Amino acid sequence: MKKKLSFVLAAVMLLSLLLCACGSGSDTKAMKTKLTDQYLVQQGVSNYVLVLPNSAMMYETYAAQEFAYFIEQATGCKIETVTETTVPEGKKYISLGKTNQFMAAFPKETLEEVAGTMSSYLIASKDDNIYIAGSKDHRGQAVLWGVYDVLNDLIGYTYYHNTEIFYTKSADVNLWKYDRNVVVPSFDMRTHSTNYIYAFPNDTHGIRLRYINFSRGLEWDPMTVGHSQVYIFLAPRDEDENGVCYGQSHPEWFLDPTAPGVAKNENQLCWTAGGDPESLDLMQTVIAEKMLHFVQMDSDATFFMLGQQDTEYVCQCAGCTKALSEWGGSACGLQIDFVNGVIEKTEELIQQNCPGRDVLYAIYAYKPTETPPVKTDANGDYVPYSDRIIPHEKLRVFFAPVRLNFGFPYDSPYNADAYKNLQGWDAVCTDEQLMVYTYDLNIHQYFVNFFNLGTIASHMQDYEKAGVSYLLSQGISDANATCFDELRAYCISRLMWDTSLNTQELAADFIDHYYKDASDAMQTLFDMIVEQNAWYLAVEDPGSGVATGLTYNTTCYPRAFVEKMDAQIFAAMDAIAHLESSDPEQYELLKARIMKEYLSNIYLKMVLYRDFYTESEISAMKEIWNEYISYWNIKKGGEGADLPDIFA
Amino acid sequence: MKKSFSLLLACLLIFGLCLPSVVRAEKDVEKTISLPAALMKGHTYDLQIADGKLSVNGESCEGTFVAEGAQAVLAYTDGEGNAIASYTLPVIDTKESADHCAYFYDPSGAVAKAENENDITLSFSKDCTVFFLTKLNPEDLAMYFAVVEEKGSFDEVHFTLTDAENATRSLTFTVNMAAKTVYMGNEKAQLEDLFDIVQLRYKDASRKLMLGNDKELFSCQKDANGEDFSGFPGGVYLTVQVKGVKGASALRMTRLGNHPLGHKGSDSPDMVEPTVAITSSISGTMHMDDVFQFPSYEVYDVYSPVAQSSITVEAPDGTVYTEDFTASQYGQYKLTIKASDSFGNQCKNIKMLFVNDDIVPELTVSQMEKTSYKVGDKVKIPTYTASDNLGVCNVDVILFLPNAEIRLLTHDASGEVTYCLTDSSLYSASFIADNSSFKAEQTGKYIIRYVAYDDQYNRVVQELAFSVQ
Repeated sequence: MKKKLSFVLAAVMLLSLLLCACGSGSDTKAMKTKLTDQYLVQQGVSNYVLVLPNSAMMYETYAAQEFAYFIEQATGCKIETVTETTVPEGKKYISLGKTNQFMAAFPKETLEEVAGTMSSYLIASKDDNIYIAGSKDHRGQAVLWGVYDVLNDLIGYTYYHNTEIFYTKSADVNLWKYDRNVVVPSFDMRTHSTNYIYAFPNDTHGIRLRYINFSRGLEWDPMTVGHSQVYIFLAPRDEDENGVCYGQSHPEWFLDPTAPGVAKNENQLCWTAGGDPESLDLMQTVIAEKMLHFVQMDSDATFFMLGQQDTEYVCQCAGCTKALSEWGGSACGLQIDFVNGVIEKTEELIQQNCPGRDVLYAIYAYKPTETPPVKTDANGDYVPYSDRIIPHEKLRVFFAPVRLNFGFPYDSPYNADAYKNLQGWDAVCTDEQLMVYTYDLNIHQYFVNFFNLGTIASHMQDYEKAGVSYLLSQGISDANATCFDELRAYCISRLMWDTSLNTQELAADFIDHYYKDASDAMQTLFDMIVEQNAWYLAVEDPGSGVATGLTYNTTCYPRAFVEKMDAQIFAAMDAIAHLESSDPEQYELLKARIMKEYLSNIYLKMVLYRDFYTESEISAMKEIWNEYISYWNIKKGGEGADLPDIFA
Repeated sequence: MKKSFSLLLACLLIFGLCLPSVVRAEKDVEKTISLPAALMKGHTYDLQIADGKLSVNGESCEGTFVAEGAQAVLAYTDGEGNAIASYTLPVIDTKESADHCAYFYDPSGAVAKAENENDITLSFSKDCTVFFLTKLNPEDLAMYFAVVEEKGSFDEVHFTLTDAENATRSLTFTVNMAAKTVYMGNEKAQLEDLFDIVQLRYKDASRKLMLGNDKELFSCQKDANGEDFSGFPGGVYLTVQVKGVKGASALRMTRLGNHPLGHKGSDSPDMVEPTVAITSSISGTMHMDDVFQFPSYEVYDVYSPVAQSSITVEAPDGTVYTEDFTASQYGQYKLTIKASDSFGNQCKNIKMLFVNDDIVPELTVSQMEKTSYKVGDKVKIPTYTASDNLGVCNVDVILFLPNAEIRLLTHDASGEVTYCLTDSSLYSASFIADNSSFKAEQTGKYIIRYVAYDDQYNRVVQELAFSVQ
């Protein structure tokens, strides 16, 4: 059980101070110095090699490839990769992972500080060699993240987008010296769930943004991820060993035992099996056996999900109603108690069938289960309602504050209830156990801009304070989208690594590199939208947050405002016009990026102000719309909603 | 000089579909004269040509004439009285628009026509050509048809659109039902899903042939003669040809333009409103002192004569203009075109025009009292003055906090100020101070952004920064 937040914070601060005093602190950034008189690459030649352990982990190997690739791109110099036992005489090196060279240089290092983490890495220099090492878990991802940081120092490497990777081209690359330091990002695991990332043919895009893939990666079992309780584990139509559907043989296991399908938005398990302990035991056994099956099927995954269904409803049977009173009225208390039982049974099965396998389980705290099962103690601090709702040590709780007003920070009165929920879950879970599933999309209006990145950053800072280990932000995950989707992905990627970064500066940096000659106009467009949203939320309508409640109307987007948005698009096009003849390829690339944002303007003009335009103007807009909708492969107008026919 | 026989044939192929009884063809200008295949009794026509004169049935015609009798002889002469061409057109009695079948004029008499509630069916057993008598609006011209089941013994249906102002300009789309293919010259496109009804839509603004679901079939860059094509400025005449007929066949015509075909006997002969096409260029944006010239427009109705139409512009102050005027006010002008047909069906087209002001407001912001504060300090918001050339000037004062939050402090709508910074439903007590200051809660760099903007969203920005230790 977790201690009070204030106590933990105090302890963390004290520990940080002590660690810093010892010269072995941790931070989101390494402590380093550029060595102006020493070189990794000089005149296109390097005396360095990359060293990997003989049995390098997957991402350590990939880290070496990435390092060598980008250095070659920047300098033309190929840096060889060798193993710890084949380092050529006289060569300097960059050691990746727990190599012999690392152990020899730092014999007292145990890597305890990074044990079990996915992203924390130790970095240090000694005798002009650089060492990066992470935990033995998670396939060595931390080393890869460390390599990206070092590449940023060496050649300015910054991954803005798969079509916009920045590095400084030069035949000379100065060496950097790193003080011994453990780099710890704000969140150990990070996911941005967007089609922009997911639709990429491989994981390179997500990896370079330092994300893990929630739906098809190695960490999460892809079969069970999501709303899996009824969908995957136990459906009314599933048959028992006698060939009888569970909906018939055990109607008490379901909110709706007669439900014909297993669509993820329907039904819900009854977490008390109608209040019958014997039936509950059998129900948990059935699910545990299924879970074992999935664990055996997926030998790589760490996380297996038992996600409740995506519905507002939970069972209201007499058993649940009675039990609810024991859990302080929290449906999630019921769920945790139920899942704890499933986990105990699953763990027993795992010990019997695949001993040594170490997996974790996750549930949602979402919609009807968003409220934590807590009460306040004599000091007014949240404490778990009872011992029975304390999550099993292998259980992770995915707090999904879908009712949060995403236009305002947690300490706004608009989010008072959500803030209590966050504090409550912080009290119920340990740091490792608390994960957050948040949102950064205008869920019903993919073509309408909104800018609350600053607020999202403040939310992230609150999650970091609560010790959240994994942050997943759901963007537009079922379609490509306009509305500065790439900018959002970049900023969120950087913020998840370091929540203290300034959002406005990140956005400006992105705009500068992504829109290049058109950046002034695109920055103005961005600023206009930021300001308009700030005004609209504060003065006109706070809404219910951008995830589900942002309205777009003639008040939020007056016609003259939309015209000025257009003016910025045209100014952006004017700014790149000179490239049309001098650099046609670059021109087309930048034009496509600008036109992608113009799609949002066209949408607003056609939906809100169609009467203001002549048929020929509409026809011209339609031509652009069709061309760039197709170019960017944009296929939806909102979650689950087809592309709108705005010209009908 | 007389053209050769083959050339005459070619001319007939190009525009003769609309001119069943060309008598003479002696001058180039004649080629461009575009007429319907027949006239409709009681309908008013304007078939004048530029730099020429028209006489109808031997009587000089200035402007319009009303078609009467069994036929009309149209004779065109040039400015010097020399004959250019003459035509004899039959006059069809549509029985005051009640006989919809009559609109599908079949000179050969080989096509049987019947109307029910859902369509007009054209039945035939040999190759045939049918002319639709009304000039149609090309802006969004639907041509929907179906092949009557078990009566599809033919190869192709050709839909030819001929410019009502220039007979040499036409487009022909050919549908091969068996191949589920549409052709335009050498180009072809697949009818992906051939349901019961083939839905072709020609859209003149984009010069594209689409399917009813807006899937593009062709971009019409060249006309049927291979000349550059820029659209049909004055409407089109439709000709339907069926070729390769092998036996008893029938087409069900279900829609033309905005008009569903088919009719219930008890209903009014025409229940669909006219449509309007603006035929000269018009921009949605003007500037002060620009002279606004009223656009030309054309009113179309599939069945009925157009009874009346009007065009007006309403200025922001309510002044209504019916003639060209000079823009003297900023803001929104409303252009309205109204039209009605002889059965009282009305349409109204509205376009909004803007007279824009591009001058940004003037904004002056005073300095911060201090540039460094401590947590808990009250931070006084520097005052500002702002004005705009048109009087209306809004100012938003926005705070960017160190943790990247964005908070609107005040919204000034031309002097009417909303003090968001003291709104306890928005912000927490630890932030709120008074209407002119707020409390510093976080350490780091704060930015106060002043955004002044007018009604046209001309915008000027100033920022002030301070730090909190």
